[in-house]
Amino acid sequence: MVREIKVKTAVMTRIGRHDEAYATLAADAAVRALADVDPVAIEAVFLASFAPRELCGLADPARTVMDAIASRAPSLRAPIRGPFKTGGEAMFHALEHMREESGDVLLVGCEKMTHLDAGTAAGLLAPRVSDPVEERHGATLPALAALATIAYARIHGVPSRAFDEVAVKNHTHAAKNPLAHFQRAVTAQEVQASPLVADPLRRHHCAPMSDGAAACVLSRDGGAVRIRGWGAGLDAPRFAERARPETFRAARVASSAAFAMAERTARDVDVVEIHDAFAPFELMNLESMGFFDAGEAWRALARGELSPGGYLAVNPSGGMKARGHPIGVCGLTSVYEVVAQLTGIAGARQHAGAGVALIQSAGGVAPDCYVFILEAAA
Amino acid sequence: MRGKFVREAVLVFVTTVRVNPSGVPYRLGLAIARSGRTRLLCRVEGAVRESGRDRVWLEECHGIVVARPLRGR
Repeated sequence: MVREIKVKTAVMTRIGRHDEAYATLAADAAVRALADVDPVAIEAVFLASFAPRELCGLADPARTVMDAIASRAPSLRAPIRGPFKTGGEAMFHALEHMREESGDVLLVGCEKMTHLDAGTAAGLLAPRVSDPVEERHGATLPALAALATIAYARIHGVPSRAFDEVAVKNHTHAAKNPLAHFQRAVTAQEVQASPLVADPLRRHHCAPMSDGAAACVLSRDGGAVRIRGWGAGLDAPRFAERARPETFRAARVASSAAFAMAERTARDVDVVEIHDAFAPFELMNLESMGFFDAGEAWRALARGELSPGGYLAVNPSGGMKARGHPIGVCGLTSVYEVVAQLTGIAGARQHAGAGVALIQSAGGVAPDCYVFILEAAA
Repeated sequence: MRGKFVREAVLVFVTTVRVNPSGVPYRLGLAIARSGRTRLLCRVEGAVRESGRDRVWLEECHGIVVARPLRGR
């Protein structure tokens, strides 16, 4: 019988502004993840980083990161793969690798963005998030997110105040997370008073640009959390060609595969860490993955059911919106949060009795998506 | 300047992109051709109501599809 894959260790840095170099930040996380692991047992390293070449000018980010890790963990001699553009993509490939191989795997995610202003970053990231034709038309990530939001709100009759409440909720969660980028709550009035980015999206509806790193070791030999299922899904890379821009097909496909593999359904899940780079995406993703009917998630939010202690703890870390958004790292920051929740060490943001968790990791407006089901090991 | 005529369409969604590399806001929209088969991202120029039912002409200028109100043509 194939032994199940577990998360042996999971760490993350504080999310926010960091002065350290990119490779130093990545190595800090990696070395901490290896603290109680024999580096010789690591068979492969997977790097998650969305745009290190564009944002940091790194010609060979994988080599740079591996050299930095090896200088502090010289017995680590595994090959490095990547960079994968999201933590979820890196973890998916690591898990597929582990189907065939027996050794442990180290996942490292790192991003540095705060040295750039928002407009410059939007320009540098546009080729990574948009189809070339759509980029030529000025399709920045917030612009595409705004069009998806308008479609969702109009088709399902979701009031705009629901999007404000997502931001309010996630800031409230982040205020209880000592590693979060934002450590204070915001009001709906503050959200509405923040500047427009691409209407109807305002600054407080959008995840910040953040620096940060995270790492974890996956193993068949020990770990408090097991990975029961995973799946991947795709959507049209050109946004305009999506038949239903108000929903995320990739999330539906990926979650269906992950639930089937785990032999679970959405009703079994206690905690989710999902893609909320733009506040409306949290609601759209919950519905796309089957947690609520289309256009209904905001009602549960309004009843306060989407926080720890409620029906479903949604982004208890604060999510990308408020925990912070070092883009390519986010799937791995979710692993850290879910492990904390499933092992009961999440402190003030703990969802009591958390036994099953879902992680969703997607890039941009989700042309691809990865979903994982994790459970506390017996 | 008039570009190459593409087709008549309905402008279903429009956003004004305020944060962008140029620093100058512009409008971006999603248009569906009358046939219903072709969906295009486009820059939006001229007065549209943003109701989801604006009838527009789509013209291609230097590789950019531009939507302009039908009544203004």
